[in-house]
Amino acid sequence: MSEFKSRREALEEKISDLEQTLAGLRNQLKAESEREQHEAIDRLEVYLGDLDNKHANLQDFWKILRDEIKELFSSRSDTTGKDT
Amino acid sequence: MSSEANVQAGAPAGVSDEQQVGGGQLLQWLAVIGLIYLLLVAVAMIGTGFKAAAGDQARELFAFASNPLTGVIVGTVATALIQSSSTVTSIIVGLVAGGLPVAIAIPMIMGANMGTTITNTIVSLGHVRQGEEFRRAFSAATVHDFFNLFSIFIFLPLEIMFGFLQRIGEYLASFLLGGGSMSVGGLNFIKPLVKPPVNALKDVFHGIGANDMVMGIAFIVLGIALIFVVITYIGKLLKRLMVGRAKAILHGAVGRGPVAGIFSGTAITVLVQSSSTTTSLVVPLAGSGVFSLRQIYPFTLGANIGTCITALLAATAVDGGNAIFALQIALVHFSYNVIGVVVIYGLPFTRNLPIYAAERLAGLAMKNKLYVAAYIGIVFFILPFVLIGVSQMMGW
Repeated sequence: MSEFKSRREALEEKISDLEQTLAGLRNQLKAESEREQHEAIDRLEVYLGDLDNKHANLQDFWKILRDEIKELFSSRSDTTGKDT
Repeated sequence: MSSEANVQAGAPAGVSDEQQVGGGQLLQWLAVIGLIYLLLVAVAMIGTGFKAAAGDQARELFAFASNPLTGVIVGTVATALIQSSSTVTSIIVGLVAGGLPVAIAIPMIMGANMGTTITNTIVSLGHVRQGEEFRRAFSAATVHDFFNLFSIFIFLPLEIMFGFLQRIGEYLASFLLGGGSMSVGGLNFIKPLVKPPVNALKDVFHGIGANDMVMGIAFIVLGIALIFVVITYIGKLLKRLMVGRAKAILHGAVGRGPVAGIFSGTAITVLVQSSSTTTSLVVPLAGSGVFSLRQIYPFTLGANIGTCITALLAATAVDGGNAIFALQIALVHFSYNVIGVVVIYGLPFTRNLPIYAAERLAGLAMKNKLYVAAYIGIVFFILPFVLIGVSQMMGW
């Protein structure tokens, strides 16, 4: 009975240690991601400058869209050609 | 740069960098004050012009928008085209000041909320070549769209059935205008400041023999143009002046949870007077993966609340019998956005709907850009016009 009790206590101790380690790692991860967030916020001027590129964004998007539509139709006509 | 270098660069001797920067900033702040004054003049011009041109026929003139759905669509498309909800809500305040019924203006205000979301969606297209980064950026942009869309789905039918926003606005406006110590009667100093240029312009038009109709239309056109220019320049100036303060607010909100996110979004939007600037700023932050969609989401909701400051400011320029209605529509805008955040974000089920929809759409958009084009085209342009057509055909 006492052997069982000590084994149980040892396991509980291990769990508690692991939980403490886990909590420590979680805090580390939180601190690390918050540090990254602060660094990103420090680059706010760059992001503000990018807001003026809306026209360029649309032009670039339009190019990609056109290519994807061409690709879509060409692959469809290829399939149709094979079918016939 | 030292003062010697200043002399070389043409700056007066003895003027330090700090003094030059301080002087430059002072000038920019004076320009902001001047532009705010012009905004108030422009709103007063629209109100005066609409009153002169429409007389008692304001309701008939806007009969086409008496269908709430059409009102939403007018607000959405107008805001999507000029990409500024502050401009559209200020114009709406001016029109209400001129006699546009508040009931017709409320759906337009809802539509303005929706229309402004196109700007950050376009900003997210800047990441279109970056695969996973684009998925994150696009979902951060569209979570705002879906929130505003769900907000309309929930509150427009309730408004049609019960007119609850109109009542809340009415109660708050009468409380503020007639509530003793809480009265905004103290803001009456704005009206005498705004009146002289409007009266001077009236005299000019009457001097050249223009009748009320011509003068009214000219006032409306000039007022709209002026609001557009003023809000564009205020936005540009405030972006430059407030970037340091915005950074400090964002730094302060890091790791503090969603309520801090909502407050920081509100505060930054009040500072830069533009919700689309605030919501666009977070797109690259989310795109880089440094901020998650759940962290960005409350911040964009704060932008919805912060943007109401422009309409409230515009309402202070209105005098006469319709001043209370101008304040009412500005307060409806504020109440609608606050209630939207409290209800949709407050309930766990509805809170997650915009996130789910934005993530699903972003997943599809990453695979095929046709989904992006279809989404923007349908939600902001095709669907509104189809709905207008259908509602006209059905005689709603």
